[in-house]
Amino acid sequence: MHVDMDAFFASVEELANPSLRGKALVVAGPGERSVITTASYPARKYGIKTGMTVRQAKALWRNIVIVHSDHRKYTDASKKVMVVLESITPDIDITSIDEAFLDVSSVMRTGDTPRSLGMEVGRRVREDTGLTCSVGIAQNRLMAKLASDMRKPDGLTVLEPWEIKPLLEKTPVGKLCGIGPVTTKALNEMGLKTCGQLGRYPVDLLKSHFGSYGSRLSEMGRGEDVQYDGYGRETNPAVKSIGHSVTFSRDLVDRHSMCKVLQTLAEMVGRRARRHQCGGKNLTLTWRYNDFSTRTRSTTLSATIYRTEEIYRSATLLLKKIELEKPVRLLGISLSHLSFEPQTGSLLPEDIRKEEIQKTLDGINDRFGEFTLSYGDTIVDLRTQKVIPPSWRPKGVKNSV
Amino acid sequence: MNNEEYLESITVGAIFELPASVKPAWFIWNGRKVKIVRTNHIWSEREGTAKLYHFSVTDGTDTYHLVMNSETQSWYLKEVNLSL
Repeated sequence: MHVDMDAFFASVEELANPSLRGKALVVAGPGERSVITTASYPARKYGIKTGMTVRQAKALWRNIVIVHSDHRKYTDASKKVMVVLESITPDIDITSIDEAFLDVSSVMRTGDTPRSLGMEVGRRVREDTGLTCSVGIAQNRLMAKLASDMRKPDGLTVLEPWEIKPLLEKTPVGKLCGIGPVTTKALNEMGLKTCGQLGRYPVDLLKSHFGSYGSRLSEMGRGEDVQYDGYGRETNPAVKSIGHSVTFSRDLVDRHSMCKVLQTLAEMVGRRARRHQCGGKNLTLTWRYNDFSTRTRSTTLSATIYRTEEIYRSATLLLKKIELEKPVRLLGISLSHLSFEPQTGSLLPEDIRKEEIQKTLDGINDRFGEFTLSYGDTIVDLRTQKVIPPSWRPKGVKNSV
Repeated sequence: MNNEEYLESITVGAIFELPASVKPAWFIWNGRKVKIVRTNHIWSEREGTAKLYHFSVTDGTDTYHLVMNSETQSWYLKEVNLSL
């Protein structure tokens, strides 16, 4: 079963302020350059979609209501939704802030049907949180996700096994989760417009074009889903990286300003790493030019790092090596090759001193809130610019806000 | 609709219920007692060790955003949406 919350951020805003109900509403960051994270259903009627800038949305409908995103409101609402879903079955895989897969095969009672259980889930979510969701039920995750998209908002779609083949015959390939715009374009150029055509296409030819992903595409075209172990969790759900990025209100050209941003990002990444008692041996710097082209540069370090000062130093060293071609609109830092083993501290007095300073800083920020005490250069307040990454989860290392 | 943001310390009358629920009933704002008829939404966040509880409430006409700091037991009015 796939449960997908309807226009989640916009619905939470409507819940907090009922006078917004029924209005063409978008949730976005501050400023015209901000990207829309959710558009309400009335806004979607004007062609406004997630991913557009506020400026683009205003061009489509000038009376649009813009609400600045408040991530605490959404993460708190998400936690409440997930508590409801976890009360239905413990076998739940939360895939983002507003969607989850549930294996309900073990909780079906005598007399239950997939449809009755789907209706029960929708009712419980609505009664306990005031929000609506769309539910898709099928024999695997790929088809359940397709089903939940078929009837929105507040919808329920059950796909019986014998309904899948005829449905896929007419379903465009781009509708399947995992086939993005680039793959869709490539498949269309090969004459493969529908899932049915994709499923019948020779696997060898798909492999020669897409590599090993070709066999996965072929399975997807037939509605098969072997990426996951049965109906449940992803086979390899281990956290691989910890990162943060920020889009600026104006493009940056001078490196001094960029270093200030890196200092703040290093603190955010370091705090999360230290909170979860891990460190990374690989650091990646991401930057996006004002034409939206994105670049990354990585470095492998001699030891696992987790202190803010170490992360900042490695990131600025990478930045120094880069020849920036255009103004920069986004910067990001991530740590990967994570180690959750206890860190063996250095015995050098200088390192012991730095470790003590870091612990003291963390202790003060734990007590009084993030960035209560920080480095002097950290004057760029990213707290007001945070967005929720798709990888956000209610618990663990991926709880990044 | 007129939206105004504040950060104003206010006096609130609230009902504390067991096991762990708090429900604002009224508050004093601009010398006026505003009676809360409905709580639209509640959410919380941490600020250090303090937990902040946010309440979106209505007096039947306008919507108010109240914040309670659980550590200092103080209340703030954060936002008012007047339905003009």
